Amino acid sequence: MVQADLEQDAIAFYWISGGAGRNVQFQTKYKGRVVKTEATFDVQSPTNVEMTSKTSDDAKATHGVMIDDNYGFYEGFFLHFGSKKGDAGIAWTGKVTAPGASGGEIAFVQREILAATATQDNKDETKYTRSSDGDFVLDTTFPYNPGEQVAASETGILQGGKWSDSPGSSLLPVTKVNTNDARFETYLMFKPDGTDSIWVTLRVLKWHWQGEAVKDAKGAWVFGMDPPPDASKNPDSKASTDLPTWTKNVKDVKYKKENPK
Amino acid sequence: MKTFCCLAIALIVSLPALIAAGPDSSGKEEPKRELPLWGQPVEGLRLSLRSAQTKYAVGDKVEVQMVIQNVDTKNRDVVDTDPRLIFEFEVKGPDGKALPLNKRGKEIQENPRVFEKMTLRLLKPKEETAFSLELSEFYDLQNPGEYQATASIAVQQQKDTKKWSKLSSNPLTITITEAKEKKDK
Repeated sequence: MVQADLEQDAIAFYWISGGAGRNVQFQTKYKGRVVKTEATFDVQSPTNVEMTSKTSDDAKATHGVMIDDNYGFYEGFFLHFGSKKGDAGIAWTGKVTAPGASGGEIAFVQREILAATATQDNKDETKYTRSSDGDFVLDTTFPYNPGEQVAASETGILQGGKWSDSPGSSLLPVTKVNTNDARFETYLMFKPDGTDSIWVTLRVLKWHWQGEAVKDAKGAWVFGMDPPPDASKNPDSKASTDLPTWTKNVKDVKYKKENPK
Repeated sequence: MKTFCCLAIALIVSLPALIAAGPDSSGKEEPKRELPLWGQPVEGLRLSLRSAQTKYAVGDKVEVQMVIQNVDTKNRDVVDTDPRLIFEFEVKGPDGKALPLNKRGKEIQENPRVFEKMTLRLLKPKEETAFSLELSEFYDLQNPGEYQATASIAVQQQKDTKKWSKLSSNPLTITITEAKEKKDK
């Protein structure tokens, strides 16, 4: 705690994991006297928690990554991971049984570290970068999509098109080189009913995609090797109670002109 | 009851939506046709451009909503991503001339578009989905007067998925007032 906490009328603590017989002790000093108290809590948490993923298995992809005009979400050529035609870059499935003490909401939340560049097809080879500078940023919305409500002791499942991601970068006629390197963390989270509850993490899954698209002498887009095309393949999740944090929304990561200055 | 509902809807649709405008040269109130709420359907979808308020003061954030409705008889997928990357706008200023994108607007729309969150929203027949963004992030709406905006989005053709059509919205009028004037809600 910091001094500012001690100046509040009340301080709220939240359980971010479950367990029986959890002991909380409180001690303070008031007018020179030590005041102590303690309490024991049985903290219920969701059970039967599962999180799996399935990545694109498009045979035309190079290590999962593609360059073509078949992205399907938007017109034009793209460097991309997955496409609209029933073949998302990554699709997640989550399963959670809410505790008997409370129902709640389940959803995925995603954060990422990104670095992208675009070099223009001009004499100066003007280069722009778009980077989160190694920091995690929120991927667009919190949660990733509106979650599903689960009643106490009931099991909720997250699956389907809205729980997927197919990131891509448009390849414009004015550019000659595009690169993308994005590292994601997707969190399966639960928020108990009640106005004074918070989202807590149940599982986390790490995945990435990267690639470089280069315009060749004939004007066709081909893969470069900086970085080489690569994407995660059906990554596993792991149990976690770490709450995701971020410095900003990815929507606020801006392009910066690198050269010429 | 069912008949009554249908009648009520028919009346609402067929009534010429009239709103009072300023007086004409004879001093009479000149009726002005209200702008349509939807653009023309394309590929089984239609697009509406709306704003929670019609008047903003100079310097205000001007927020607009783009609503896509499935007017097809079967389910349709709609792209779900940062709306700034998929919608384009045409904004005419008080002088009737098209406004250029501002610096931020150019940065967003003229650089390679990096789609971080890219997924789909499923729309059943008649269902709609909304996207919101800040129009003033793209255009400098700094002169008092009436601005007219239309939004558009590329939609994949159903018969030939290699081809795309432009789905355009209704025109939306936004009035920008002097900064000290009071806004309506």
